[in-house]
Amino acid sequence: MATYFLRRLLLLIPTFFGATILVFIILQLAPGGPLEQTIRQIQMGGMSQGESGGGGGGDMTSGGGAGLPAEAMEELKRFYGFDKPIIQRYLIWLGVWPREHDTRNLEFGPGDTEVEKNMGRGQWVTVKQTADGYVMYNEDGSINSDWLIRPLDPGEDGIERALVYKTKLSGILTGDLGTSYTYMQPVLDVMKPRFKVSIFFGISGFLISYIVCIPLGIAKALRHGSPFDLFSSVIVFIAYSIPGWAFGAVLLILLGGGSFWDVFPLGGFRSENWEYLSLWGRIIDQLYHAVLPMIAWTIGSFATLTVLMKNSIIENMSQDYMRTAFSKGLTEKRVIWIHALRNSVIPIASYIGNVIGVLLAGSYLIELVFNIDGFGKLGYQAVLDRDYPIVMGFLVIAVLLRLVGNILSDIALATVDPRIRFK
Amino acid sequence: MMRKFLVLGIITGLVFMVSCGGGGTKHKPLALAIKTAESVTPPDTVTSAEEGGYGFDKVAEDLGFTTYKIPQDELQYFGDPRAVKGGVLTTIVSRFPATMRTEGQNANYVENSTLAGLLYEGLVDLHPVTLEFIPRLASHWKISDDKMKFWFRIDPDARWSDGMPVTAQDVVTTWDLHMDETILSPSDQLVYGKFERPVVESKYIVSVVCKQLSWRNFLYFGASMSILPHHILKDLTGSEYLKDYQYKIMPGTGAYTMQESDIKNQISYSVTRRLDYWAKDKPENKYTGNFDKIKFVVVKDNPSLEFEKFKKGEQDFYTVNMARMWVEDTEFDAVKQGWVQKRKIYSDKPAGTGGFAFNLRKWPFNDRRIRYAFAYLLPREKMNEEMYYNEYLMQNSLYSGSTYANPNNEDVKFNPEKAQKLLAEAGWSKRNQDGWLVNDEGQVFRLEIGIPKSVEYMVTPYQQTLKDYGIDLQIKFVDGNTLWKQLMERDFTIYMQSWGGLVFPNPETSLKSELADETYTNNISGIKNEEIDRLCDQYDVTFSQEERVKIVRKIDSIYSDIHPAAWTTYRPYQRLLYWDKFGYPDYMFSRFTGDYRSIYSLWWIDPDKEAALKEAMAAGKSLPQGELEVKYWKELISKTDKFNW
Amino acid sequence: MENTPTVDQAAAAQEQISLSVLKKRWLKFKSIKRGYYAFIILITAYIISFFLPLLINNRALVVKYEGEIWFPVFQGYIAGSTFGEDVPGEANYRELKVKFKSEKGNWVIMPPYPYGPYEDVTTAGNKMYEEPGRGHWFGTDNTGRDVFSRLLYGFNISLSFAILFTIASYLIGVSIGAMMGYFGGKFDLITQRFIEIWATLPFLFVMIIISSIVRPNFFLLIVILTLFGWIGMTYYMRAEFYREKTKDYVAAAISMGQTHKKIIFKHILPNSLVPIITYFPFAVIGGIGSLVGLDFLGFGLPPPTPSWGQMVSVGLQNMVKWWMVLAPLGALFTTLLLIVFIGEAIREAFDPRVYSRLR
Repeated sequence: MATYFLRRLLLLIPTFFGATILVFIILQLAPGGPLEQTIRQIQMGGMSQGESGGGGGGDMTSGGGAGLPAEAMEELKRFYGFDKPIIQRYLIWLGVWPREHDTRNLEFGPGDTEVEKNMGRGQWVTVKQTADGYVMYNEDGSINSDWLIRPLDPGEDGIERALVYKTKLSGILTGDLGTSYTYMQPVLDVMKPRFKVSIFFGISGFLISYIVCIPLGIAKALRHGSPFDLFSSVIVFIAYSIPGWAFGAVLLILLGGGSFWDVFPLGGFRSENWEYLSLWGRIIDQLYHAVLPMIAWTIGSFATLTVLMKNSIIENMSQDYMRTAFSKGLTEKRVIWIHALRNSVIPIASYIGNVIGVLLAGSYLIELVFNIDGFGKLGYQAVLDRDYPIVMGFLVIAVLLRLVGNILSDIALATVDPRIRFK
Repeated sequence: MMRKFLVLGIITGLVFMVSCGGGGTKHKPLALAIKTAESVTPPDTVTSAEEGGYGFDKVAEDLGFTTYKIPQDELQYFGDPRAVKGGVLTTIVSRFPATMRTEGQNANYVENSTLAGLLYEGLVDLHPVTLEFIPRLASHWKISDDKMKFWFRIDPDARWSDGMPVTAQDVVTTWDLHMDETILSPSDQLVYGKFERPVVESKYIVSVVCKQLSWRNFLYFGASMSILPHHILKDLTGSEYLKDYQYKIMPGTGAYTMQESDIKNQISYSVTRRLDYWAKDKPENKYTGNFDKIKFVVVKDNPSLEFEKFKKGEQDFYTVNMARMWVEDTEFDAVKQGWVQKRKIYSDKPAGTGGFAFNLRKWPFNDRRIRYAFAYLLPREKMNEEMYYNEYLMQNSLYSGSTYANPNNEDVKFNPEKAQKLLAEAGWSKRNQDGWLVNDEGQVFRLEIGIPKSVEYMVTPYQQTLKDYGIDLQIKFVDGNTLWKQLMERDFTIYMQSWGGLVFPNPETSLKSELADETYTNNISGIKNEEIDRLCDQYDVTFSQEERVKIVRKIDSIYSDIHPAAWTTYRPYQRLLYWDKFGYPDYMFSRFTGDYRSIYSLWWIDPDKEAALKEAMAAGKSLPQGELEVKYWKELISKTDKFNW
Repeated sequence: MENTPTVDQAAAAQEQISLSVLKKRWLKFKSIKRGYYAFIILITAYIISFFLPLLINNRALVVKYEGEIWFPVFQGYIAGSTFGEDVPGEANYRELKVKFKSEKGNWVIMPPYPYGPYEDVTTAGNKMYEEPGRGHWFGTDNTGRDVFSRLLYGFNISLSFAILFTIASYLIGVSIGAMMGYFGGKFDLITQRFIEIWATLPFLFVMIIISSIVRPNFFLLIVILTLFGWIGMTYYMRAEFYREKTKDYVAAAISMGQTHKKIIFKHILPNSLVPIITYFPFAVIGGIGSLVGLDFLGFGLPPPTPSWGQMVSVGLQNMVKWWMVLAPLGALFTTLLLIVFIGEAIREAFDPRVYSRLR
């Protein structure tokens, strides 16, 4: 068993590198990266698209519109790491090449060999240019070696420039997923609040569909071909063929209280004053908000699981061991619930591993309709905004989760079915 | 079996923990308006009047300083004496700001500039009706004879929200911050690089020298730069400012503040009125900033949910952008009962410009005849009639609806005869068997337009019309980012766009020849015209508003003649719905801001109306629905030419 | 080789058997009424949808003008001036019909439902938001286009798209999956890694990149979706081939020196068809759903293509105009339901196991 898992782990390595390199390259190909995104944000000012001339934004004055100064653009490039070739960027992202951070610019006026600079928190230093590079002195005259200094390409104005910076190895291999471009926060911090959404909907959706589908599947199997079987099939398939988000949107208009009946809240994951509620109040509030999105979320998921369960039971009922069980004089109830069911959950047990996948689960459209901030919206928006760290973070976590999920599935399978062995 | 239940048990527990985690501390909702400073620095009696201390107003004139005293009869434009303080205004925004900073990276959105207006102040302000300069942080100012140097004298009463006094050093530090390229906002260096570093003349007097003569300099430095506190910023580098103040609020001088507990990531944020705002008793501030709290709730990219929330009462007002919605969807019960009031508010807010911009750099729009043909083929009158319920007016100027619009521009009406004639002149008269126009080389008249999905319904009718006349306009959906990149790299033929209008137009950024061949500038169409260049240069150094209007009108006329765009429609008013619990000045929106932002500063919650609304809703009774159209400004200006500029 | 004929005979015999098996399955399928009727309805509707230009169109079927007969539906664009009509481009046949009523000898035969899917308010006589009624059965949309007409043209597009997409991804997925299962070993290991990596491709990014270069059309979208859609099938086929490979008939075929290609496609594949056929309808549903989703998000077919996703998205924005929501959702729902029923029946028909409760 141990060697089996070790092998699985080793196989992950080529996948990990292959996938990250591939996606890293794809991201560079997409038109309009974070740099352009920033320029756009600055320049768009009052641009918008509407049926009747301009929208908001435009004010008394607007500074944007003309070309932006070159040094400022350099600064932006450096901030996003685009001053380095792509291979180096990938290595930095991995965490095996030093990442420059805390950069400061130095400008040496014509003839100057010395410049004073505020390094932050009021710490002033003096940088002297010597024949073999730069030396930094603290205010008390001691040499400061915390910082590295390298010359920059001189601008057209003839002023010599240098960059002061620190470096660190910080990337995916050191557990640093980077900082989101749009949220300006570490990727994990951006993701954290969304885990509660995905876990809540993922797991309760999972439980609901199991709670509904297993008994329904059994009932259908026992009454195979009866009107009940037919009727319930029609119901689950109707549910299957309704797009959940569209159904949710209609329900929200009908039951959200804006236009027709005021039954449920108008979207949101929780009430805004949730943190001030009592424990009981919180549970009620959470459930109250969850009803409509949960319907949208699960409505399509009943069909496959019910049918899977039903078929599995039917198949087991015609097996020899059932004959034996009956001949032992056991009651039908006991035979079905103990023997048939146990064997029938085997294929379902293999799904257990997928549960881990809900950590990153989300549906953009459902989240959009219900104004919930989950992974669907985060992922979609990250693509539109070209938020590379988020996209890459997603990728890494997804690859890891898939591995863990597969292993969990195997364990679950081995647990319910003693015949299965891994080698 | 056992184990499986165990797994399920763990999972259930997990759900429970996740959904209920976050601690059991109970907070009471906070008392509304608050004091922010523990102790306020007492009045400065040391600094002499000549150095800007108390008594400066007596020596100001001798020193060459001026100010603006608001006459009694103009005070009505600074809030309404009926205003009552208190209450919460709730509004919905479509984005949670990436930062609560008002400067630096990612702070260029409308949400941030709204915050800047509430939390911070500039040195001077603009009169809401005459657009003259009025005091704000600076009580007096002086402009040198060559108009290249400005002095500002800061009011010695001015205090930061932490109680510290505002001094000349704050202005210098603010300028320094803008000029720091590590705040990653390159346009700041462009705007503020027009000045030399400001100089502290005395504790309260600061001066600044311009590098180039332009009437706009005083506006940029005096009115658009929000002053930030030196005592906080002095030790920070640009990147530390970005990081530390991402979601942390720096003390401001404004009437509002933001408490960190009111920032709920991705969900909502609010500002709270300060009881110790330094200028709260000044006549121009007495009746503005009336709400104790203004709350911004985030609903991302879902306008229909936003509207539903308004109808449910979770939002206090709603501006309607689409004609269809205004006509078809605003006759719901609460409107019929008068609980929700409906207004069309006219103002002098520049309407902006919109339409199909042509790329003059390449085929086919390098040919003036084709440009005009496309304009004549745009069925905008028909679309207005059939799709927009005649809600809009036809746009024939870059500055439609404002005083800058040249009234003599050609009114381009749908005119297929003219269009066909022009097309024929340009070599497009024959049709192939599919009905498309072909020229002598057998080329089919086919071009592509990239649009975001939201404007599809405004483009397909144009596409159908062009098809009737043999032109194949192929529509392609493109995501916003790609579209913008293609636009800025001039990789487009025709493009649909709207621009917000400016009270002080800035023609040079979009019309100057030198920007035409540069990528990433706003000269999208690629206009190169020597006369426009000359007028733009002249415009910059013309200090008389009247003269400037004349110059812009000339530019407008040349622009219209070149016709680098097929203009669509505009609307000179705002469509507003609001729950009938507010008091407001008779003009509702201020003259030039002209939109919902006036609500934040000028409106208030009227307790009588609020009670009446509650009662009416409980009893199912109707309230009177007010006059739909509010034309206060149009009428005022037609009555007097005092405010006409 | 002397034993070759025997193998061929065996193969022939097998073919015979599989034919009769197929026939049996077809009979069983027919006996499942729900699925069978759904199949008949869907197939009929789909076939009819190819003749939509004859049934639902603003182009006339036949025009007689000044003694000459025209067939605009087949001839395509005919300038209105040809019929003495004062319109810029193509003739407006509905108006022509009205006009010709009073002219002797001239007549127009319009299709039974005389509204096209593209004409909007800019065509004379069209209004937006017309309620469902005798003229426009399902009303008109926000630019005055006929909803019924767009719905049916959209049906053909959706279904054709989904079927072509499914076939394309099956062709790739089945071949690769089969090879993985059949050859196993290193080939399997490497291909598996490749698939794992391929599966991480960010779909939307690829979409954005491609659509920034070319204008997406029907076939391009199929190609792009297929790039991502083939992976699922490989898992089933691989497992299926792993199992079948160990069976005696494969060993026999190998020992007789049959080529790999022949063994894979002639021997094993027919025995592994069940999952392919069973999943086919559900894959078609997936295809329809993907196109709707893409159109809804604005990454799908370019306007003014009558697509259901576009209709759903404008419908949801105009929910007060109930027909604009109900019509596309209803059509989507009905189509999916029919396919589900067919899929259910196929699955049952192909299931070789005879279920009996013991006791």
